[in-house]
Parts: sequence; structure tokens; C-alpha cells
Amino acid sequence: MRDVERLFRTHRDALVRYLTRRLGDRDWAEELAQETFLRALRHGDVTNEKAWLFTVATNLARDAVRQQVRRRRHLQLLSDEARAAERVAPVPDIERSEDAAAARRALDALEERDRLALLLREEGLNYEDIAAALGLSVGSIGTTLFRARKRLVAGYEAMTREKTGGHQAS
Amino acid sequence: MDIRHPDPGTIHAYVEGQLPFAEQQSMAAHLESCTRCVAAVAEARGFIAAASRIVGALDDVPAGVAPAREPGRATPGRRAWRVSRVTAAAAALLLVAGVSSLMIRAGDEEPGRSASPERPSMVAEELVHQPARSAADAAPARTAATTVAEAGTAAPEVRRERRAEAASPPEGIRFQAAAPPPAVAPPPAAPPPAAQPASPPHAGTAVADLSVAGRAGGEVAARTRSTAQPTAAPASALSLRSAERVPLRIMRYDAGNGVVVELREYVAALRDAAPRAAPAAPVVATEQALANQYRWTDPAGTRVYVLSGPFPIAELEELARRLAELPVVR
Repeated sequence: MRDVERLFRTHRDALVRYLTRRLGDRDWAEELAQETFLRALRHGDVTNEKAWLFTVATNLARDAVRQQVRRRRHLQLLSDEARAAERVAPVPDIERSEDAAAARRALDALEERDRLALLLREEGLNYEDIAAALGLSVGSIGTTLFRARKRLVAGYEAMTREKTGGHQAS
Repeated sequence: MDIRHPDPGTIHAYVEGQLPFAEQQSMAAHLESCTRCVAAVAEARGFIAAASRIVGALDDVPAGVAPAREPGRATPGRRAWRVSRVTAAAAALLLVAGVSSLMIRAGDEEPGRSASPERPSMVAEELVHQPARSAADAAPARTAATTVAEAGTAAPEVRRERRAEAASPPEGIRFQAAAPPPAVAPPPAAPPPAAQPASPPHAGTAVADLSVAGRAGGEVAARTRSTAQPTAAPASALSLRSAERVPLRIMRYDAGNGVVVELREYVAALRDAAPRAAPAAPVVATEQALANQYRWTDPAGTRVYVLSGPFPIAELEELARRLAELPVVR
């Protein structure tokens, strides 16, 4: 691709943020972002560079997660809705705040497709680009996002309720 | 689309402006007379906003969370991620500068080099200083003028384990320099800190792009700081009358207009000791009369960094963050 340097400047932060939110690990996210730009270097020009970058990053993340899940399966914390193939093991409670921990768990509880759609939308991709990145139809993105958001909010509130021992008014 | 009561997916698409134009129009018309769907739109907006907030809350998490071998320390929430970002980056930056392989050209559009042309160029000079004292187990630096830096916003310590220790890839800068800084003859020590912005990069220096928003506090008088701080020599081997911490390394960055910010790296105290709770903390005899300081600890807990300059703490923090965002160089 032409002028990957410019792409780097323009999109790197967003890519790293997106990957960090997906993976819960910034170092990992940076590695994958690196890899994404390396691929851009080797790839021909595209019309929609941002969408392309996020698509590649998404695929890299998926592959990396699957690989890691296979390796760490025995360490994985199970939950009621274990979707083992597509989830990263919940990170230990390192998060700096309970909000972040609850957000992490709530996000991890989503289906992979819903989670990715939401994170891509948070990076400003339009429905068309999200659909392309995830291999879905454009018409289904609205529903996907609605479901993702609704479940995320519900899950988050459930987590925070738990943390406060159920004393929080719902 | 069911024009009477569109499904929630369509409502979402409408709220986000993602419907084809004709559908957008007919939805708008529908909403003029359907309170149920108006409520659905309001609910959708609520979900969109709430979900966005929740996703944003994830960004409080520091890097290198997994796999962790020890629980992180409780630190003030909001700043933590920024601090953690800087830690490894600063460590790595110093490491790379020491390896004299960091050549980021400022402002040029050389192909294959990553740079930030929008940012004014900065010249960094590295002074590699071998600690003259038993820095290994002394407390990190404190200066007389740290009050502002410690006013709540500075340097919450971030402690966390990393998979790879010294060579962990830092944010924004990628390299695998596991080697310690080479025995490169350090550039002449202590040039005037109101430095020459135009000095060309050469081996051993790093030219980095940083944007400081031009808010140079103005008159930072040339701080002549010598890195070697000879202390009053003990009168005899039996009595040490004073101790002084000297930095392991100092990086100076020209922020333009003769303003300099300085990044000092110190060896930290024992890994699990809070940096400020060191016994008999030695005092660093450097003065930063006109400067604030922003201090942090690297994730491994082995290094303390102090970034000082004539900027408000928040800007120093931002600078520290930008230091971490120097583009990739292999």
C-alpha cells in the first residue's frame, strides 16, 4: 500500500485501542497492530483503507485468540455461557477499577460477532465496513449492534450489582 | 422495513444514520406520529450511550494485564493506563537510544521511516551515566521541588509483571533490544540545556517527534545540570555522611524555543517496596525551580522515571504519553 506511514499515523491509535479492548492486553494488541501494518506494506492499494486495516486486525485477533485458547484451555475460567472457541479467558482481576473489571467481563460475555461489531462501531466504522470486516450482511448490523449493546449494558449492570453485594438499586 | 413499527435493528440503524436515505426519511415521518417508536428511539439512544461508556471503561486497564503473576497495586484509576503506557515506552526508549539505533527523522517523509511530520522535531541527547553509588538498593529520586508533581496527579505507581521482562515491547516502539545499553561512548556530557534544536542526529542520539503545543513556560533559564554529582566524600570508610541518588540515564528533549524537558531514569528500590517508603531516602541534589515533574515507575518496578519541564503536570503527562507514541523503528 502506498504511504503506510500516513496510515500508521492516522489509524494506529484506533487500531491499538480496538485490539486492546478486544483482547484485554495492550502488548498483545500492539503486536497485532504491528502485524496489521506490516501486511499493509505488502498489500496493494485499497479504496477504503480504514476498513481494510480493521478487517485485517479483526482476523488477526480472531486467529490469535483461537491459538491462545487452544493453549490455555486448561486455565480458562468457565462461566455459565462458556463459548470456549471464541473467547479469551477472562483476565485475572488486575483491572485498576471495578468499572473496568465489570466492563471486561460484560464484554467477554458477548458473542464474538456482537462484541466485534460493537468495538468496530466504537471506532467509527460504518455499518457497511463492519459488515465487510465481519463477513455479515449490512442489514444485520443494526440488529447485531442492538443486541450487543443491550446485552453489554445488562451484563455490566449485573456485574456491578454483584460487586456491591446486591445492595445497589437496579 | 415494516413501516408501521420497525424492528429494533432498524431503529438502531436509524439512530446511527446508517439507513439508506429513503428509509431514513420514511422512518422520520413515522416517528412524527408513533409514540411507541419514539420511545424505542429514545431507548436505543440510551443503549448506545451506555454501551459506549462501558466500552470506554475498558481503557482504564493497563497493558500487560495477562498473564499476570501478581496482583496489581491499587492506584488511582483514571491515570493509570496512561502511566503504564509510558513506563515501558520510556524504558524502551532509553534502551533504544542507548543502543543508538533509534533514528526517527523529524518531519521528513522518508519512505520506510515512521515519523510524525505534524509535530515539531525534537532533539534528544542521551547522557549515559553509570551510577556511581549503590543505586541498586537506594530509593528513587526525590527532589526538593516535587510538591507540584506529587499533588495527586503525578505518577501513580504501576506495578505489574510482564511476560518478557526487559525486552517487553513497549507501546509505540517496537524492538527486541534485550541487550543492555552498549558501551557507547556517551556524547559530551551536559551541553547547554537550552539546546540546539537543529543539531543533526548522529549515532547515539535520537531525533524524536513530539508535539508540545508550544506552551513553553518560556523562560527556562539554561539549566546547567551536571549529571555527575559528586557528593561530599565520606571522611572515612566508617561514616557516610550523605548519600545522593544519581540517575542511571538522562534524556533531554528540546521542546522548541529553547525549552528543554528532561527524562531521568533511576534504579528503583526493591521490587516490592513502595518507592516512596524507602528507608533513609537519599535526597537528590538537583533543583527544578521552574519545572514540574511527572514521575512514574516501570512495570517491573525496577526503574523510576522522572520527566521534568516547565509545563503543567497534565502536559508533562501528555508529553510522557507522546514519548511512548514515537512510531515504530526496528
